[in-house]
Amino acid sequence: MNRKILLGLLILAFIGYAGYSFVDSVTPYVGIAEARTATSSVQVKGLLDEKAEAPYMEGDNFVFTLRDEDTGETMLVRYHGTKPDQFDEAHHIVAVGKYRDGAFQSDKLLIKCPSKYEQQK
Amino acid sequence: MVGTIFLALALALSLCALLCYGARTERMERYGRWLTVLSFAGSLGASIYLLVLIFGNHFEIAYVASYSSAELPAVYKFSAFWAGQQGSFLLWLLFHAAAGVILGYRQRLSAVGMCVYMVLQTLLTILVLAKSPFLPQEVAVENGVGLNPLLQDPWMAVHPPIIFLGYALLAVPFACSAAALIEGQMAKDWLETARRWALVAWAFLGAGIFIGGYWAYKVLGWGGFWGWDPVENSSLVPWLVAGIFIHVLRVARVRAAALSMVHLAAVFAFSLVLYGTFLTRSGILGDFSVHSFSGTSIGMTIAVVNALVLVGGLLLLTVRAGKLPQGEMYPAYESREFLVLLGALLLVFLAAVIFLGMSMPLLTQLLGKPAAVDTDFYVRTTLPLAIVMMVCLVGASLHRYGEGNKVGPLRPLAAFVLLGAALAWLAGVRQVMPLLLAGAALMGVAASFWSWRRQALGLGGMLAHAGLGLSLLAIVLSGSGSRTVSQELAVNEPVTLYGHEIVFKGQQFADDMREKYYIYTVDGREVRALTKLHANGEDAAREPAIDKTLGGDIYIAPTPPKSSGRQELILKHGRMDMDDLFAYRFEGVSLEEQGGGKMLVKAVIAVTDGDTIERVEPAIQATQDGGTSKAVEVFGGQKRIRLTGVAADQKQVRLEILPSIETETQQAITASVSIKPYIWLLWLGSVLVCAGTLTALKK
Repeated sequence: MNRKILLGLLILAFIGYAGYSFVDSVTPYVGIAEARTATSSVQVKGLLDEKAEAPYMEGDNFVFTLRDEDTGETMLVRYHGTKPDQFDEAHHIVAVGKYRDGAFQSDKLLIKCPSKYEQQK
Repeated sequence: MVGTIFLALALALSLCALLCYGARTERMERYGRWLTVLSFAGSLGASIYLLVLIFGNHFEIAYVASYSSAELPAVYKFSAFWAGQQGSFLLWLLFHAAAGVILGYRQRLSAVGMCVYMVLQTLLTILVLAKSPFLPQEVAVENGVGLNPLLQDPWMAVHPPIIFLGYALLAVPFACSAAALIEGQMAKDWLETARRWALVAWAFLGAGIFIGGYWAYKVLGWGGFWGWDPVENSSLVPWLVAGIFIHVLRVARVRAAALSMVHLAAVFAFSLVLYGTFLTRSGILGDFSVHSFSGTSIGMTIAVVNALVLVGGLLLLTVRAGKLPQGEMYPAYESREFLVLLGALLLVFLAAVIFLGMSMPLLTQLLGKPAAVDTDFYVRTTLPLAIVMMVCLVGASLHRYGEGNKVGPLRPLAAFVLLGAALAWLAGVRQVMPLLLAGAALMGVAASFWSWRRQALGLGGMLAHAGLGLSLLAIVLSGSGSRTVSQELAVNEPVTLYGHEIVFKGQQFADDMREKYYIYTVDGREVRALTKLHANGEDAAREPAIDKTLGGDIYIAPTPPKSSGRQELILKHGRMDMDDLFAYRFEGVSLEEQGGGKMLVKAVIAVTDGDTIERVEPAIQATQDGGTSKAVEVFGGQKRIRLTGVAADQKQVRLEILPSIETETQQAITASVSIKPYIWLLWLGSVLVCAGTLTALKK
């Protein structure tokens, strides 16, 4: 009987831990204005701003300017990695990260590329 | 048209087969079997016809135009078959129907089971018809778009069919389980059929996942062998649940009380296959996944089929629950029964955690603002689960079924925990959880082997479990132990990193300018990194150079240079502009209609070095929605000129001036150089898991 209780407690503890991790790692989808003020990790979707300086590498970071499709606002994104494949053909870019030190510090970029699986109609 | 007729036939015949089996007389059952074969012939006909269309370059068909092109190599014309969702559903149907024929003739499934199976086949055929690959193109085109260069890879060519074979075969255990419940046949003889098919399905689905992971490792931009992407997760979850099915089924053969869990696992495994398909095909994940599938109307249809399978299965189980055997599922805590079931419970948690994470975009979309979970979530939750799971694996391996049947003492195995953790420490792992997992994983390998030597575990079981242990160990070693630096590499200047001497030897272009290689030597061994190029010379798909050694892989990924030595020049009509070598003058534009909405736009450029003048005509091959242009050489290739734009009034052109091929290939580059310790263990482990599972069939 004791072991059953122990097992039950362990399971409950794990569920609690999983729940906590879950809430902790949810990254909501926000616009650029919100991304600047958000305190936790968020996802921002936008286009590459063609009017701004062309994307470049700075040390280990890949830097480019993201433009909000709806509001037209722009924001500097500092991606901690190299320029992703098919970046040039992207029709949308989703950056995951947090705004800090004047730029959106991103660890993950999703490149929405029309040719990846489907042609854009 | 022909294809649609074949599909319609397959649909009608599978419906007829369903009715025949439903009649439940011997004669009708025989007809049912014939109809299954004929229905299979229908889907086979449709598949062959699709191949005929692809190989015949029938670009009037939308599907062919989207995934194939006249110049696509023959091998990849096969993979164009399943490059899009319409074709992949047809492939799924083909596998399903083929398995149906085997089930009918080998008599491994009862008439009721065949009924359930044919219902699924009918639904699948409707799905294929609803999103048919045989629809004509709205606007005629002369050539297709072709297969994405990223997918033109042998591993990517075989990955989808293997995954889909796994998906299709998981319908068999579901049909077996449903039939047993409907017939009230609570005896255990259906278990053997279900087990064999589940093992094959599991091996193939696993192989498909591993192949996908290996491919993602050897191309860039896919985030390594596993990225916790929703699309990857959506095939991992059914695989985990099918794993639960196989394990609780084994327990149910000794302890009938576990039978209810076998049914539950069968229903969930197949439902989750459908759910995964729904998530990835409905477009809901569009903004959250690197595998961007665009939204389609087919999502709702799959959702309905999914709900049917899940609700139907669960309802059936609830109704029959009273008739299922009751009693103790395990004799004692220290028994293989208990430890296997506990391991299965951990797999349930694993599947549930990943399921929750991957469904997040869907759940939050229903509630309002869409959101996703960070990949960190998966690592944090699955890591402790994997450790406990390996401990259960060790415990279960060291007991036989029944009470008090210890195979051997646990203690000597503790040495392997230390060895595994020590290996991880040497590879540079410093966090507690990964170190524990490395230890537990190596202990699992040792325990599996030990158990096999004592005849407590079959050869297949030993290989599969040892393979799992090795894979987990390799994931820790190569993941947490991986290091990356960004390094400037000048041609022929040696650099020492991680104790290896790396020399960049320059780039090399293929003759047709559609591929180039970055060439390096690592400790004297030559390795090459392929970059596939678009017709206009821009990168289409990049691969890293990988030097494979026993200690691990040196992984060199070129990063695009800040300036590739390419220059842009905008020239007004009659005006002249200069670069470091030549002066360029734009003299005129000519347009050449080529029919089919295509046009060749040529610009005449006079180039001079001060003494002689050379005229070149760089051109843009324009179509309705885009164009390509190739560079032309001037002065024996000292510079290359590419036309990249012409103003509407034809008074101004934009040119790209490229350095000579020699200059470009000898440029210094920046590369990100990583070391992935013992990554080969992961490939070995994956092969063992699949091979072991198939070996287990022989018993």
